[in-house]
Amino acid sequence: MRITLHLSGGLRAVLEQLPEQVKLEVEGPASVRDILIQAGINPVLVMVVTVDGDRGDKEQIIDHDAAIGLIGPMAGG
Amino acid sequence: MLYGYAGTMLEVDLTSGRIRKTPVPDDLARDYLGGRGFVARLLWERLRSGTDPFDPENLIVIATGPLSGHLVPASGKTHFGTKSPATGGYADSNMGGHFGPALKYAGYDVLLLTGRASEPTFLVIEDESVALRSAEEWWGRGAITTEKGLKKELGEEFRIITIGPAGENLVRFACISHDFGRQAGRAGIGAVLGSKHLKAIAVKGTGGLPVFDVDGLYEKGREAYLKVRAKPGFAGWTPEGTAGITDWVNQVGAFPTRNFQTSYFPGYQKINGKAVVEHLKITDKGCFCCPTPCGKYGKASTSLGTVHVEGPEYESIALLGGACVLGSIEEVAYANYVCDELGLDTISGGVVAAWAMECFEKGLLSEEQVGREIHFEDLESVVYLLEKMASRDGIGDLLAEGVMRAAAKLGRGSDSFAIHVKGLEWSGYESRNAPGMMLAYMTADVGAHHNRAWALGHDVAGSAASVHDLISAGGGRDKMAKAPVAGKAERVIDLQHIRPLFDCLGICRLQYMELGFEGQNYEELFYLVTGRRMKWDELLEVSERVWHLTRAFSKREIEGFGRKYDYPPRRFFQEPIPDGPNEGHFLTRDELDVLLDEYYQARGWDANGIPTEKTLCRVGLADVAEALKQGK
Repeated sequence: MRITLHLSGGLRAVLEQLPEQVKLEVEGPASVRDILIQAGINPVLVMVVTVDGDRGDKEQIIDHDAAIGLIGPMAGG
Repeated sequence: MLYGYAGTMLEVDLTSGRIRKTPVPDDLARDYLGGRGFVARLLWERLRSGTDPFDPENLIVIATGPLSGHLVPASGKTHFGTKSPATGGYADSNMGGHFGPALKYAGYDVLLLTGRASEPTFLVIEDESVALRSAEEWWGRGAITTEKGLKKELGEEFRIITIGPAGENLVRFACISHDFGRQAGRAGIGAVLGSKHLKAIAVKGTGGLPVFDVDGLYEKGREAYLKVRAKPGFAGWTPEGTAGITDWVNQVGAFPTRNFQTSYFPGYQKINGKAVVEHLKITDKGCFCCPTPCGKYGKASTSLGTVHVEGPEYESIALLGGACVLGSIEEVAYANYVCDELGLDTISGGVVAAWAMECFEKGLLSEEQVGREIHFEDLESVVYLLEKMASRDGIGDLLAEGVMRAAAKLGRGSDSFAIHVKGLEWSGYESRNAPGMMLAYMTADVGAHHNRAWALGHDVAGSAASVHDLISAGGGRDKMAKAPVAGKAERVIDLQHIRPLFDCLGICRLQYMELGFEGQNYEELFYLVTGRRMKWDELLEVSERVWHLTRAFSKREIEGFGRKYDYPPRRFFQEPIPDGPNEGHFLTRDELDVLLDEYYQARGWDANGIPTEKTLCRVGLADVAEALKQGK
């Protein structure tokens, strides 16, 4: 599967070495959590996941090319 | 010409009714930008040292920033500052909404309030016209009720700030309310307005603002607005707003629960962002020019009644929901509404109520003293306490002083779980295994507030298992490792310059901090508005100057101020977290000293946490260094 990870500002603030977009080839099906680990991103740092624009979660199984949004830690108002 | 600014400071002496308009000094704009910077400098220069927070001479500064009211994403911020009745030191707090832009369109960047009106009063600003009117009929009424009534009386186009009964009754954590749900919540500025008998300020502005490059700003401002909305965080974050972080904060064991006895709330899914959307939300609500409306206006029905309320946002969820252990988002929203109407900061109000309930649980407060039984997990208890605080009735007179003073008066060890720093109650991040966040709370200039530096994400990144560990453990992990303590100072200092910079510019930081709207965008927008070319690092230098100045202000105003004011309550360095992902973790007193020693050294402060003369001179505060030397 061709996966594109889109990292939020809050996530890149704590993973400074990573760009806003990370593309990777992953053998499917795989959970978002597994994909994160393969990308070198600790899942505990990801607060919210979107899959192809819809709200998802880290246990969601991905079986197709997908754009995964990763929202990192952020504060209240 | 000062592009970007309205150009005028409006001074109102509430004792004499005298109104004065003066130009914004060029050097003030150059060296302090606006907003928080103006607040800090004007308080330093104009407040007589030693003035009691409730003395008529205390000064309230209401300041906008150079970007406020312009076509810049989320440019609706207004900054309020004074000498804090909660801490006795520096106070500022900001709010979103539409008040700041309206003030600028009326022609004023800054509003300075001194004196005390002889009777309840409200101030009406309509462009050049400035008038004081009787607020007799509104005194004693709720903050939201008053805003609604004044809009009906004056017209919907007026932008209004109000205080509730808590401000009138000098509750030390009373807030300023605006826009039916936005607050300048922290450090008791609403009580200082109350001490001046000023119930409300209504502003209508119809003028324009000078812009250095109008066409360029229109183009880049629009582009910026769309760019923010295209950020990867937008779709995931905006629907729930800040309430959306509730799950994560629990998962990493940092959610303040049962008066910070622990850091994990098993019922968090009943009070999280999803619950806000599913059970409360009617519509999104945003501030001036905001591309990411985080406000969630909704309706909540509980056993005590039905209310319409904006929120609850994360901090209210954490302190009313977690610290007081409320069982549903409807109950949290109801308590939120009660705070909003009474004019209480939901953070401090929640912490004070939670402290009182723990005192009751431990037998330190009796039913006779309180007037009834009070318990965690009971909305009636929470609302009862909030109402008592706001009216200073019975036990409320003690609670209205805030946890630091209340615990000092009650004694019997109740100070060990009075959760504050410098007299300001702690906001929504339990930090016994988050040393960076702990340091941020310890050194925040207004007291235990998260919006000076939010380091929790970095702490978690430092304490969480490595990716390799996760792979060998099957990708899951329930417990957090002990976070390393050393080496936190530089990061916290960086964050303490970034977040407050937005408060100087008069814009919201969420788009930068949370969505990753890059710093160079702000350099460009700042140039197009003001005509001044300042690099991001140069803007941050202003923020650093303000940081040293606010510390100097507290040094000047608080007898014996220094290191001892930077420690958290004993619970945080004596009691291990009893359960949850951070079970067993806490920071020792020695570890707190490591944090402070590294921080003071990196800041260029002495071992007592006071900026040295050399440091103050380096950041352009030689006059402040001289004043401190002379004990002024």
